Amino acid sequence: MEAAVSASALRRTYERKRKDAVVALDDLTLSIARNEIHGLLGPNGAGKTTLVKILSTVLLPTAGTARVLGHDVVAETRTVRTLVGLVLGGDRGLYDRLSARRNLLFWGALYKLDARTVRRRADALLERVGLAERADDPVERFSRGMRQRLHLARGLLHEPQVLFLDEPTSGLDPVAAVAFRRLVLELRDEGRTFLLATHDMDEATALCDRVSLIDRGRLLLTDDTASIGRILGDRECVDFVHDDGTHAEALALLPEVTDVERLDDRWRVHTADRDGSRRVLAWLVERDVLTARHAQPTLEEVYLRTVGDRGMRV
Amino acid sequence: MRDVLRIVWQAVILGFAEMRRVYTWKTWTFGWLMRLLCQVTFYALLGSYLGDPHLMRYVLVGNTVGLACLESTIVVISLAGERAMGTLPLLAIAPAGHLPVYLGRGLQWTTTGLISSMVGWTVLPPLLGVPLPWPRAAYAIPVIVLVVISSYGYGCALAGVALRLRGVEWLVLNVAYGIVLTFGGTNVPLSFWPAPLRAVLEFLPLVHGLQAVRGILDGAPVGHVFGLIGIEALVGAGWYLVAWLSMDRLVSVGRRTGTLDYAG
Repeated sequence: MEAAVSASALRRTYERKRKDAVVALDDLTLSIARNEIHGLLGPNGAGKTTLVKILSTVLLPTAGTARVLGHDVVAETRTVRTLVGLVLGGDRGLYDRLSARRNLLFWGALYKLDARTVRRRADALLERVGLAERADDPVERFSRGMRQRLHLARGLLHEPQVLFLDEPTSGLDPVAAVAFRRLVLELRDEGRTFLLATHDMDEATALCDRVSLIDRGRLLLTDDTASIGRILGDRECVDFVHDDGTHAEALALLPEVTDVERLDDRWRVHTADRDGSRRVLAWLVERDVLTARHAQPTLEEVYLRTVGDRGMRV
Repeated sequence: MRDVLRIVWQAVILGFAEMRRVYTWKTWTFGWLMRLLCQVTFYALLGSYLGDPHLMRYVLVGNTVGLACLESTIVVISLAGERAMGTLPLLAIAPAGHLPVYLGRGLQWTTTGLISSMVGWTVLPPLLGVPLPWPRAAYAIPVIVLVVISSYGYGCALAGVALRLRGVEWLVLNVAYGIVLTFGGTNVPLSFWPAPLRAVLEFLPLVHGLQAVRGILDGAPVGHVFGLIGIEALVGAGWYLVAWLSMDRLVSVGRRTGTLDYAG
């Protein structure tokens, strides 16, 4: 089946006066299947927003091609625009003085929806995103989470098949973020495809079928979210929580243990193979360490090891 | 066409909603409108101070019609706000295109401009002792409407500058209407200015409309008045064309250079 979104050798540079051009995307090749939620992870300045901008036709690529549902984003701009929805994060992109309903009516007119259709869809979407009771309140009175839900409603108004979400839950409280993620999963179940640019590893883990890590405009890896820990090798791990390091020291002497490391809130024991993990688990249970569990490297660990400490730098 | 009108209508609703952030009807009437009427009165009284009743009417008429231009150009601020609100890229990728939005985005200012000018037109002359010759003064009202329309196009065109150079919208606005009101024949006849400057003034809104208004009040030949009205309309159309090209280029260049930011 044809990919919902594909990019091939996509490159984008920004020219600067009297300085070298900045390479925002560097020969990036990526494919997103239909009905997939694809996470795009990377530090600030990695090129996530640039990719979203190109795919949503806000920005032209310098070289390479990108297609949405088979349509070239440069040559078939008008078609692509009807097929995609762009959902921004944060406070921008909405008219604060208008009510939620009026915002949707405004954007509905820009998407050439007739008055009756846009009213019907606006009502249905406001109900769906939980804003029906505040539909006629000015957006300036909305919390961050409510704004974000309205952003999503705006992005869905013309019923796009592909949605690009750019940092959609940045600044949301945990409850609002969970509600937002639930909504995205529901929409995926209806057949939509999502590209989610985010910093949030929990969000990517909770939502994404696959993730791509990019840095300095280059694609570092793409893999299934559930099994991305394999990227760090077939290492077996056992995690456990214990107050002091006596067990850790003892475990380090076992022949099946290759390494013991202290993580933020727990110990991690690396073993040579699955049997080794089994023996370590048994060893810990015998000593009443009931917090022990078999573990694989998380997405966050993969990210940190792949991207390194670039996360704080732009 | 229906799509365009619906977009313009939605933009008008947005414009008035934003206007209500700045004014209530009371603060507009007793604050802004009073301020404008005082401004017109001030200039008219300067004419009176110079001891020439004709000059007083000249300045009074010029500044009253000038209000229509002044307020219509405030569209610069409304349009520049699209970048600050992060809506510019969303407008740019909307299938209906972004241009119809700009057409309706500042129409609230044309409404208030027309109201201000009409209040000045009807209230100030008798109050200051220089009554206008009715019903001829009524015939001038459609020309003032035309000045509103041409000035709005001028404002839209200059909004293109304000959208490109961030943070200069108030400077652009003040320079835009300042130039028109200073050189456009409101207080000083065009003949006062050197010929090269007069040639440039031909391309400004208000200039020919105001001459037409004066012509109507003075009983000038109909053909002369209609000629001036035609030129005012052409100048206005020219500014709309400049606005259209400027905004379209803003988006096409923005897509190429990456200046269609989400953020302000």
